[in-house]
Amino acid sequence: MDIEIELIRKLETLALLKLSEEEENNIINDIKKILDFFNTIQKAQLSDVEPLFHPIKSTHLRPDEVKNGLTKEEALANASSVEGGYIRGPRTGE
Amino acid sequence: MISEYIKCVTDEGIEECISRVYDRVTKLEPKLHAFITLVDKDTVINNAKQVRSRKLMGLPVAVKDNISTKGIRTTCGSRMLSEYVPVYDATVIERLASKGATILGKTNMDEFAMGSTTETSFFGPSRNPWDLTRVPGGSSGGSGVAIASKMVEIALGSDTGGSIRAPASFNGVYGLKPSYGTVSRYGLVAYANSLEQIGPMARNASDLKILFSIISGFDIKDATTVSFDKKDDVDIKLNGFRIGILKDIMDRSSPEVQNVMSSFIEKLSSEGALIEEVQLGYIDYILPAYYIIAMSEASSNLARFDGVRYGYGRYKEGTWIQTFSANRAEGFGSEVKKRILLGSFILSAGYYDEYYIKALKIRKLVKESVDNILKSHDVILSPTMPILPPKLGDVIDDPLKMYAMDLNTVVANLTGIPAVSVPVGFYQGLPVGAQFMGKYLNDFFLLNLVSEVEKITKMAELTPSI
Repeated sequence: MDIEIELIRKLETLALLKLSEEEENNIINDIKKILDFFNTIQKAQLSDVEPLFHPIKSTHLRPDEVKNGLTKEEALANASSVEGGYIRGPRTGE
Repeated sequence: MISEYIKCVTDEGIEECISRVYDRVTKLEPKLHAFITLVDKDTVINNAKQVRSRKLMGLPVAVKDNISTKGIRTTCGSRMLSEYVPVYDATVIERLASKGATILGKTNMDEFAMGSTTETSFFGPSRNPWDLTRVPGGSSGGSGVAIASKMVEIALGSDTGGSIRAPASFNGVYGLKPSYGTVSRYGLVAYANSLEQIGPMARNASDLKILFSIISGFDIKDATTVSFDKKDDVDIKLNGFRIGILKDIMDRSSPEVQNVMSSFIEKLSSEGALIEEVQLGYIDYILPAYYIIAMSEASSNLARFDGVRYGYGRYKEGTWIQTFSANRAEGFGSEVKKRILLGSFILSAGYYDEYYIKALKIRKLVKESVDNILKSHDVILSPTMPILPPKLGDVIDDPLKMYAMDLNTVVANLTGIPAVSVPVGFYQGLPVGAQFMGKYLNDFFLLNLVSEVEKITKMAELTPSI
């Protein structure tokens, strides 16, 4: 498969991962190799096969009961920036 | 053995026994690097004293560093979580504590469990105690090293595509990837939810069963756990036991591994086991299908790391897109980035059907093949790993070489069945493990088989001289 640097940059945008130019050059060859490896499955005869998403058929729900969640202190404990008892996030616009 | 520790505590007291553990850890850790974080000695002694009246009497355990431990740093082997201290315990940790175990430390691992050698850890690789120039396997490499070197008797690992069994095989210890849904994943930092399970690692068959009994069982906090019969007195007799050997997997193993496996198979035969060659099929499709599924789930799971609520958050200014992208770029290592980018590619419009759905169809075919073999055989046998432990640096720069190491182990994760790695021999001083896979929810059946196998191999409590 022909992988161009533009595709890597598109994936960086989709995955929110900003790579340096050096990293892009290093990773592109590995990604080419891995995608060639993935393409092996294109030879498989799969027309009448159902996909298996998960090893178990059904899951269970818990009862709809009120439980204690994290306290405010616990929720803030690992935040990188806290202001006035809230997590401070980055700007949403330019 | 767990019983040795219990005897030690009964005869000499907790302080003496745990001090002995620390003496060994202090001596060996600089050579092996099994741990990312060690809990300090006084804390462990105090914690152990508080649970002395319970079954395990304060037994120190090693826990893989992707399992949430309240108040103890949980890094996943990543810079992204290098300062993250969970505010809650995983269910398996609560269960261990309720039986009187004490956490000695958090073990080294490939970053976010993505690797088969422990070399992708942000904190540097662990070393194989049987040969310090070789890798201990991964991703639960630190747990494998900690028990092989007898720093601890038991450890927890997690297994997404072989991450418990690879280090079990390479370190000469026992490791179980339980049936999907038998052990709660609550508090396990997710990599690929539909594939992974937390599981036990130990130095002998009996301890492996004890640890599995403690951590397994239904958990309301994990919707994918199942209720199952924990009856563990299944009587196994090797005479007449029906074993299917995966010929297509055996053929792809190195001559050294085949050599050790052949002697083991002869031993089983001489005990009266009925051994028959079987073919798994789809052999060229299994690994790409596994990696397509694992990377897709990973790209989605790892989207949560933005450096705001928790995790590496050096960058705070700029828009949220710039900030998240910058934090993730510095927080993740190259193997993780590769898998996130590939997962994003596979799940993007136009490629989803071409890769992801096709991989899931292959998963279905593999499951049918395994189910079919298990209709006429009690278990399926193969080498755990196709090769001996590689030298450090030998596979890390070639992703396909590293992924190829997982061929034998991913089958159990794709299909949800239990699989156990058992030490069965050595080749020039390096341990070789065999893998038994059993029917879904037959975990205790497998563990009892392992006890019988241990009797004929006499391979328990193997400790390298370091």
